[in-house]
Amino acid sequence: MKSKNKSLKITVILVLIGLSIAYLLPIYVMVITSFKSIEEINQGAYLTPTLNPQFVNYAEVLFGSIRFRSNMIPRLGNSAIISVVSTALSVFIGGLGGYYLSRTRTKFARILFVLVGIALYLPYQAVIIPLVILMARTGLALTHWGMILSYLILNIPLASVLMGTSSSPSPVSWRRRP
Amino acid sequence: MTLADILVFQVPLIFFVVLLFGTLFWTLYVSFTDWKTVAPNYDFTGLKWYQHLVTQPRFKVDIANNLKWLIIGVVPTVVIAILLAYLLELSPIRGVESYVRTLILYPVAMSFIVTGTVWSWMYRPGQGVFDTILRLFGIESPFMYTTNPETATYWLILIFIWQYLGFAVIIIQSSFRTSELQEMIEAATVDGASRLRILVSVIVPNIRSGILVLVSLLLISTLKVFDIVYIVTFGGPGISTDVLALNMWITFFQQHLVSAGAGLGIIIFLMAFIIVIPYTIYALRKWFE
Repeated sequence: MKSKNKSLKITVILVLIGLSIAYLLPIYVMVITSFKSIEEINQGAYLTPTLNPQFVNYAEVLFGSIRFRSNMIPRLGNSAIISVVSTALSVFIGGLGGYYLSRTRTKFARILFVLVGIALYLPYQAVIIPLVILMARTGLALTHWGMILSYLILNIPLASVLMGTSSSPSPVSWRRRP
Repeated sequence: MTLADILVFQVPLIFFVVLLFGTLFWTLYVSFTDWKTVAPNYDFTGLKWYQHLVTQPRFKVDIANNLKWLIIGVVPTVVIAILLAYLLELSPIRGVESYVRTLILYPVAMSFIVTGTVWSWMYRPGQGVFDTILRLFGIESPFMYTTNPETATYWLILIFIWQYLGFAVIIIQSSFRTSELQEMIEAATVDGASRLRILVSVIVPNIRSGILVLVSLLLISTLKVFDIVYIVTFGGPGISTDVLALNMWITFFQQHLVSAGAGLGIIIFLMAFIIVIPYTIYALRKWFE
């Protein structure tokens, strides 16, 4: 039994080292590259850290420059607005709908549940062309509400199922490991 | 149910479900029309654009590549996830589990645009990260990564596996932790079964539902894969790494062949539907039992 535990320990350590390299290397490369100048990046040598780190890349990305014309701050704002509003609305509407689906056993609720189940796995490619047409016609294209509405259409089925199963009357028992 | 109940609980959900399926059928209808410029054209032409798609050499490449993604993107991910989750359960060293979970879960929160960019630095032949590391060990890299049309798709799939492994491990781990399974494992251990034997004969058969959920989710994710291919190779070299979703993007947004793009959307949907039917039936049976 003792030798068995030892081999297990070695396996765990080897896996740990392998995973650490595989998952930390990309982050390391990304971070050190962000401090390099364009000339240094073009030379390759992604692994070696730069000798004179500079923050000019961050400044250019955030506030714009002649070389990097589009500044990032309004884009961060857009991302924040779209993700916060669409997540909040998905959870709210999905919560209401999920509660209805989990507490009702009428035929209509079952049909609706089947449709939601299919929608859960619907690839967005199957609906994206009409969405583009709809957004263009209603003038919602290139606005926050257009993006939020698109996300709602795609995310509400998932939100309903997750909220519905978590408010299910028969609780799932999980046993925590000691 | 009162009217207020219906208005609050049912109407919003029904509105969005109807909108979603409405757009789905709209796509289906557009795929049968003759809409091939920016201006709408709803003249019915039947299967004309599907025939156009099928005769393109690109379509065959797409189907072959999507099948590669479906098989090689899913099977190794699931197998590695099961082994890793089991190893973490057994782990005799404290703190390993939470460390590994954080480590492999962070890519799930990143977009493929970010990971794709970083990985294209890793892959760059000659100067990239991998080739630099190999050279440190005195090995001249035998790999061409994404520049060899024969193997480029496999290198793209590797990024996908890397990014989704943490997600897969979490799902497998949560299905390990039912009290029935833990008791069965204890019983098998008392009976003197080896660890491998427990994994194959006790654990895997008893986490079937977790595996099924994971496989369905991964299959759908690989089927609609777009971002990795778009950012790392854009279908190249030539059209060797093209997939259905990228073909659809080019057809619709660049060539404005709206009907052909809709046809590709419907083909992707049908493949997803065939793959997901088993899971949906299983889940519904469980829900209504």
